[in-house]
Amino acid sequence: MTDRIERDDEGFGARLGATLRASEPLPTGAEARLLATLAATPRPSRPVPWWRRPRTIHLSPIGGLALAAGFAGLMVLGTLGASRGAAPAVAAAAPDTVHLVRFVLVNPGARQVALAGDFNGWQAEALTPTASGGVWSVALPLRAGRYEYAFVVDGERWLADPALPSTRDEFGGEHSVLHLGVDRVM
Amino acid sequence: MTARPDGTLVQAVLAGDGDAFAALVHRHQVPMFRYAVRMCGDRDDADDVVQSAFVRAYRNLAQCREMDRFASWLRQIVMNECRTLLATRSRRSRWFVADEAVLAATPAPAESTEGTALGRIERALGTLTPDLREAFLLKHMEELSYEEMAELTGAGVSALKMRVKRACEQLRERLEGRRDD
Repeated sequence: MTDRIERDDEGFGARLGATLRASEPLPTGAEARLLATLAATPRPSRPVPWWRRPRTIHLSPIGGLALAAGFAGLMVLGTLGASRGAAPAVAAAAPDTVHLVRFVLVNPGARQVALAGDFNGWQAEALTPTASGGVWSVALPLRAGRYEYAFVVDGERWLADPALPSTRDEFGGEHSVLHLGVDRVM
Repeated sequence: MTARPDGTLVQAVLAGDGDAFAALVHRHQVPMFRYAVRMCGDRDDADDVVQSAFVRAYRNLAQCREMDRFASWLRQIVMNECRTLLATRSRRSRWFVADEAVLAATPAPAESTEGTALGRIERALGTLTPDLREAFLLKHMEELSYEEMAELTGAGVSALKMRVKRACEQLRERLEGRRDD
């Protein structure tokens, strides 16, 4: 009985759907109006990650020493993070310190893995597999802040990092959220 | 000449070829407009929705992760714009009404379809809640699978099946004046 009702609904819906698919002509001038609006809109482009933009950095001798010390320390922590599994290694430091964050994904079945996030304009960057295979990682220099990212497996499957909280963007994608700052240690 | 696939056009736009987006507009504006008209029940509102969706898509094109699936990504933006418009409209006034007596006195949404089968269906669609209407249109007008619908809407497959079933029941009642229960 339930099957019959479902079949009835299917047929009924399909008949209505066929009528609703009738062409709906655009309002006069709609395409031209849209193209004119787009012509006045800034062109989209692949954003250049901040560390690739040319810039001049002014550091006092003391500030330079502090930055160097912070960077070297975090490289050690990044190595420790890789041995823990999926979570990127992050440590507390001064807000203007550059952190070297190692992103690691354990996925023996993947042929290739990349990392995309707001820190690289969502342009996937390839991760390097370890010699034994299955563990993919990349280390990126990041400043303190909140970042969203996801792994891209085999060029098509987007995976949020299971080790971190995640959020959905306005287009339905699931991203991991990484807080990199002075008051959080992961 | 073979038409360039969506993914190639998206890559061209991001590489600085602004004209490539015009090809995407030309290809997708009509089907997106049709969905918006059926969803919003008003051609002017649908035009605004589609214009706004394309501008948002253009601005955020770098966030289109799977360039070959541009149409699906764009559809999601159009759906969001429709939801926003309907929520705003709902706050302003009750545009779509479920009451039969009020429905009978309500003018048809599109002048050109008044009195036609399409016009009657559009009016009946207008009595559904937005989530039922959305599920029905995606399933039976756009002919998507429940898995594709789940990906677009973020709702579960069983919830979507239930929405489509309820939409069919209510439409049948409005159009044929009968209940199945």
